This record gives sequence, structure tokens and C-alpha cells, in this order.
Amino acid sequence: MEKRRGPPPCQSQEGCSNPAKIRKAKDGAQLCGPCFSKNFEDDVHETIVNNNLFKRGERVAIGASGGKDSTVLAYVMKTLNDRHDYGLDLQLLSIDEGIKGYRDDSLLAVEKNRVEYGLPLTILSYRDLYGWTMDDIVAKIGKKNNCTFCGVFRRQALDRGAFKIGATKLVTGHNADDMAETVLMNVLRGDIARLERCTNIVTGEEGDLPRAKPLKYCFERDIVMYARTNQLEYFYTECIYAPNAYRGYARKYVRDLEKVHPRAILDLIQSGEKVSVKKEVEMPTLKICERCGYMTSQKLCKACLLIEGLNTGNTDLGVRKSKKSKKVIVETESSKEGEGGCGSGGGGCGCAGAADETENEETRKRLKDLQF
Amino acid sequence: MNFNEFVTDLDGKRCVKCEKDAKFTGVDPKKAWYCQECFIQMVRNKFRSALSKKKIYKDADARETLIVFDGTPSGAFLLHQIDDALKQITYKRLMVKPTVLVLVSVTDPEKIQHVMDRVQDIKTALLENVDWIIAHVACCMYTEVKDFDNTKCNGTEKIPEYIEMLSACTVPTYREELKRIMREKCLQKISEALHISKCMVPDDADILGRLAIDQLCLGRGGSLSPIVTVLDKRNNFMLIRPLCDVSKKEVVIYNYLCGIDKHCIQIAGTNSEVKSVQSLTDSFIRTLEDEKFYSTINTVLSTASKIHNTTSGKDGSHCSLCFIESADDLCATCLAIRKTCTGDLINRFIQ
Amino acid sequence: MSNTIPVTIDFSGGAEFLVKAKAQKVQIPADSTLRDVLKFVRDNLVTDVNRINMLLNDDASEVAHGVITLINDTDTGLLSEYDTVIEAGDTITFVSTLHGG
Repeated sequence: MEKRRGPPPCQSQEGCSNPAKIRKAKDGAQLCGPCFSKNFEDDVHETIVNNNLFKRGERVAIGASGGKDSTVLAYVMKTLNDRHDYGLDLQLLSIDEGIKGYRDDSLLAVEKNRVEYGLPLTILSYRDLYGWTMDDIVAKIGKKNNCTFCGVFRRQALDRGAFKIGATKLVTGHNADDMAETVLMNVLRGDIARLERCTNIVTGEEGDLPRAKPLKYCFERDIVMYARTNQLEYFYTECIYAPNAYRGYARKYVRDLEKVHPRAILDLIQSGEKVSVKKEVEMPTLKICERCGYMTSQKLCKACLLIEGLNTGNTDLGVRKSKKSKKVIVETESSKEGEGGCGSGGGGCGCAGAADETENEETRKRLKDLQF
Repeated sequence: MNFNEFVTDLDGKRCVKCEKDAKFTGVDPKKAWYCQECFIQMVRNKFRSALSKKKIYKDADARETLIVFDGTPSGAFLLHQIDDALKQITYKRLMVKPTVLVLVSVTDPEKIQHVMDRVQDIKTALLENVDWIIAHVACCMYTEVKDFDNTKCNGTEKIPEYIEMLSACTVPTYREELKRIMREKCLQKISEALHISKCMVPDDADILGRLAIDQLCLGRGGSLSPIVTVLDKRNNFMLIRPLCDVSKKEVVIYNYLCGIDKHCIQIAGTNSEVKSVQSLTDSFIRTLEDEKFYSTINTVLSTASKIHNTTSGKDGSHCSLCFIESADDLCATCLAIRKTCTGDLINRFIQ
Repeated sequence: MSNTIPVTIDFSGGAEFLVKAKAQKVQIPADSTLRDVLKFVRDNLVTDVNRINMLLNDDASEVAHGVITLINDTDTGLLSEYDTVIEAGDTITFVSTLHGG
């Protein structure tokens, strides 16, 4: 039996003579472990520098869920901060939604990050912030619209947490696949406000806490290989509260695209970057929530509306268009953010990132109506 | 698609417009249901309002229009609407001076002959007093299109060159996209040769919805509007898509009810083994519709109509291949397409 | 004549929840290709049959979307993909990328 064909040599610029072990998903480059790792870090550094993501001396909160994206994000941020002397004060921020068995384990993973990278860690729970854990919420409303609640609550929680620790910027681990999916989802749902903003590498600049996505151009596959190459441990279980079917289809489509025409991922992001809404189209304006001061396009921000619903037992509030009142309830800070997910990537729950998507088609359509 | 796939259970339901027994639904069976007459009227109105919304034929001049017929049910539907308009059968007269362009894309001489024969039949039933021209997509390879011979399929001698150019493109996704671009170039050249400034194509909502997603995946997200909505205005040339709000399902039912399906030309299916962005998009949309997300295409097209390029309005320059707004000679996508092409043939389209 | 070779099959990234154990030493027929190993995994190692689509496609001819296959830590795309012949002592790894983070 003849010897099997070995891998080709490493293609890195520095004339490395090792055999290649990794095929970079983004551009097919064939690299050995150390060269791939360096290449990945250089890519992220370039993204950070080209987009002026940080200011020297800034305190930056890293949204950490213990998952692959945020683990790699924390590690790379620390590595680059040291290597290139960004002068940043990095801190880990984690959110406890109160899902027994799921979040407990991921928080252990984040704790590991804290210890290994030597970064301070703050954990904020939904209970502290809103008076409700996800377990409580699901007990009250069932599994239909729970992703709506979780998504809204998490987004606000990260902002509040970052504010609490005195950070002036938040970074999340959203990757190229996430962004491509989000662009696609926003087109499919007709959410042009989000579509316009979702590919911005920094969002929320007009508010107190801008969010940056340093891994924006990194392919998910490469993130996994980077974690593996650097022996970074991360946590992965699906959120026990069932994932959303609709985003699942979009995710499969994006994965298929990546296999057949990998460029499509970056081109989808490009498409999102080129989009702006025509002047004639009406869009909502932003104000401040009457109850908590958070940004919103209505009187009450989405989280306050949802909590109101939970507390009064009117659990349709903020989720369905009210039949009686003429007031249209619009997705608020999420519109501001332009993120079509429930924050997965930065504080991912792994439930395929559904925000105001539900498995109930009727509700989904009504939610679509709610956009404008 | 055949008619029998669309008979749904509407037992007892009344037509939403006139209270008679409902028999047919549109794309979303939960939204509305119609009796036969109202269904026909509904589809016809979609065609009419697509044109009237943009006031395309308000002007007394420039009514000459090239009507593209490709043998598909949507193509037959379009011919019928124009025929209808000329005969003033329905209450409003659409003032159009049509010339029919039968656009052939098969390359096998036998198949081409079959198309020619079928056209002779169809001509006797529809638009008899109108000029019919038969041309192959390969006409795009002419540097200058000259006179047309009404008795044959024009442009067949350019087929080898056309095939060569497409084969030189090594990426399946880009090859498909190149075919689309060449079709438009062909229409533009023929229109110029005939001194006709307007061209109607039978692209329906199903095609345009998929095209929108394809273009998104190719990086042309900012330019979706001219590519998939009813009007695409170019220099001295206007592409009109009056079927942009009509779904294939509605076309098939309409054709059946009005006896138009005999005017279609059967063309054998193409090789579907090759995976491309376009083939993936098709399965994706199909899956969503199978899972009852009926408003997908509608929403996608609606979104496309509301957005434009962030740098819109500046420069006024266009990509020389695909015509979207572009500061450079070639947009990023067409640049990538050209890079994957070996040989020289594609360069004749680039200034 | 049953000629078998020892290999280690390794699961990670979430894929380990579908099989008996994260890493297992098994005997597979000599001259197996990666394609054969997929079928071996389906027939012998998968315990959660309901979620097998997270690891393999319907007929186990390919891995599912988002699954990376490595042989001795080398991406099989750099070898001969599914035609790669497995050698004694190889470690075959399946890494799932499907979970959020």
C-alpha cells in the first residue's frame, strides 16, 4: 500500500517549512498551526487599526459567555493589547440569564477565562437587573416568545453591566458568519432599519456605550481552529429553551454558501455595508424611556414593556400588536443596535440567535408588522 | 408547475371580493381567496398597477416597446396581456406599440428549430399584426447588431463564441451571473438596433425574489432596486418588469383559466448537478415556502425597493458590465467575475 | 481475513454529546477511507440518533454543515478529503462549530 499523500507545505509569507495543517476558511490559505494563529491575530489587529476601534487608556468590557467566539475574543484582545501596546484596560463581563444547567456551566468556563487570562470579571444576572430569571419567565409564558425576552434583556444587560464597571466601550464576539446571517435575516424580515446598521463595526456611538465587533471579518470555522490551535477551552451547549426554526434555515443556507462559494459570506457583509434607506421611506426616531432612561423609539423601552407585561400578567405586551390600542409597539434598542440576534456571539445562548423571532408563524408575521 | 398542484381546499369559503364561492388563492392561502373571475381580475390588476405606478407610459411619445418572449408561462402571460391591451378587451387601454422579441437560449440546432416552429403557431393566435423577431442570446457577442431577418433565428452564428466565453468562466456562480448580464446586454443591443427605448421582460416575482438574494450574496446589496423592481432606467434604454408582483403560481393558474398555456414552449431542464449560489438560493426559498413562510418573496422585494447605495447620486458612473452604480469601471463583483475568466472574450464588454 | 487497524476517533465542539465518549480507540478495517469512517461512526458510535444530522448528512456520505474533519490535526481538505486513506495510529477528529458563543 503506497503512503498516503501528505499535506502541502505552509504557505505563510515568512517562508515557513512546516507542513500545513489548517486551511483558512476565509481565503483557502494553507498554513501550519503557529502561522495560522499569527495570521488570524494579524487580521484582527488590522481590523482594529483600520477602523479605529479603541482609544488609548480606554476601559473595554468584553462580553463573555464562555462560548467559542467570546473566549477567542478575550484571548486575542489580551494578546494584541500586550503585543501592540494598545494601552487598554480589559475586563470580562458576563450575564447570568438564570437558566439552570445551561448558564451555570458556561459561567464556569468564563471563570476559567478570568483565571487564565488574568482579567477581572463581573457577572450580572437578570434577577438583579429585572427581577426575573429566564426560568421564571418561561414558567410564566411558556416557550413561545422566550427568545424575544432573552434577546432584549441581554442587550440591555450588557450595556448596564459595562456602565457599572466604568467601561467606555463594549466588545462582542460577532463573527463574519453571524454578520452574513444577520444581513440575510434582516432582508428576509424586511427590517430595513436594522439592515442599514447591522454591518457597522461599531454601533451605538450616539449613546453612552458604543459596541465594537473586532471579529467581524473572521470566519467562524477559523475561530474554532484558532481556539483549537491555542488550546482554548470553551463551552458549548444549545440553550435548552428551543432554538428558532426560521433562523435555523438561514443559518443552513449561509453554511451551504460557505462551502460552495466562500466569498459569499464577505459579499453579504459588503452588501449590508452598502445599504442605506431611501429618503422617502419613513423610519422611527429615537427618544429616552420614561421609566429607565434607556434609548427607545416609544414611551417605554422594550425591556420595561416586557417586564410590565410579566408583572401585570399581560404577557402579550411588547410581543404582540395590541388589538385594542392603536399604539404600535416597535423593537427599540435592538433597532438602534441593528443586530438581528439576541446577542449571540457576545453573550451567546447558542439558541441560533433568535431575537424577536418565534416559532409561531402568526406571531412572526405580526412582529414583522410591528417594525414600522 | 402544473395547475393541479394548486387546487386547495376552500370548502365553503367565499370570495373576498364578491361573496361567490371561492376557488383559488394567491401565494398565501391564508390571506385571501377568490372566485374565478375575481382571481383573473386580481392578477391582471397586478400587471396593470405595476406599470401605472411608475407612470411608464404617461408620455405620448416613446410607446414603442420590445416585448420579450422566452417560452415560459410568464412569457406567455406577458404576451397575452399585451395582446389583450391592444384588442381593448378590458376597460383600460394600455397604449403600447409592441414588437415581440423571441429570445432563444437553447444552443442545440434541433431545439432552436423547434422553437421556430412553435413561434409560427403562436403567432397565428396572438399579436398577429405585430412584428415578431427571433434572436438568440448570443447576439450579445456582436459589437454592433445590424438588420434583422424575420425568417430566421438571428445570431446563431455567434453561438460558438458565446459558449466559449461562458466556458472561460471557471466559477459556476459567476458563470450563471454572466449569463444574466449577457441577456441584458443582448436586449440592450437589439433595442438600440431597432431604435426602441423600452423593453419588457417576463421576470416574475419568484425569479426576482431569488435574484435579490443572489445579488445580496454577490455583494451588490446597495443596488437591488434597479435589478429587481419594475423599472431599470439606463442610458437610452429602459428595462421594464411588469410581472414583478405576480408569482409563478398566479401565472400558472391564470394561464390555465384563460387558455394561455398552449402558448408556452417546452424546453428541457438544464443540468442541476452543479452547485452555485443561485441553486442554493432556489432551494432555500423553496424550503421556506414549504415551511409556510409565504411572505418571504414579497418581503424581500419590498425591502429591495426601499434601499439604495450609501454613496448614491454621486458620480453617475456605472459598471460597464452590469450597469449598477459604481465609481470604477467595473463594480467589485464584476471585477471578481472577470478575474475568474480565462481568455479574452469578456474584455470586449469592458471599456 | 479481517485486517483491522487501530485508530482514535475524537469528537469536540459539541459533537461529543452525540456519541458514547469524547475520544475512543477503535479498530477499523484496513484500507478504510474517511468516507468509510463516517459510516463506521454512524453504525457504531452515535448514541443520540435523533440529532445525528448535527454530525453527518442523511446517508453518512459527508459530514454535516459546520463540522470540521481533521486527521492528526490536519484539515482533511489539505489531504484527499473523503478519499483520504486512514493509516494505523491515526487520530480522526470531528469538530462541530454549530454552537453559539
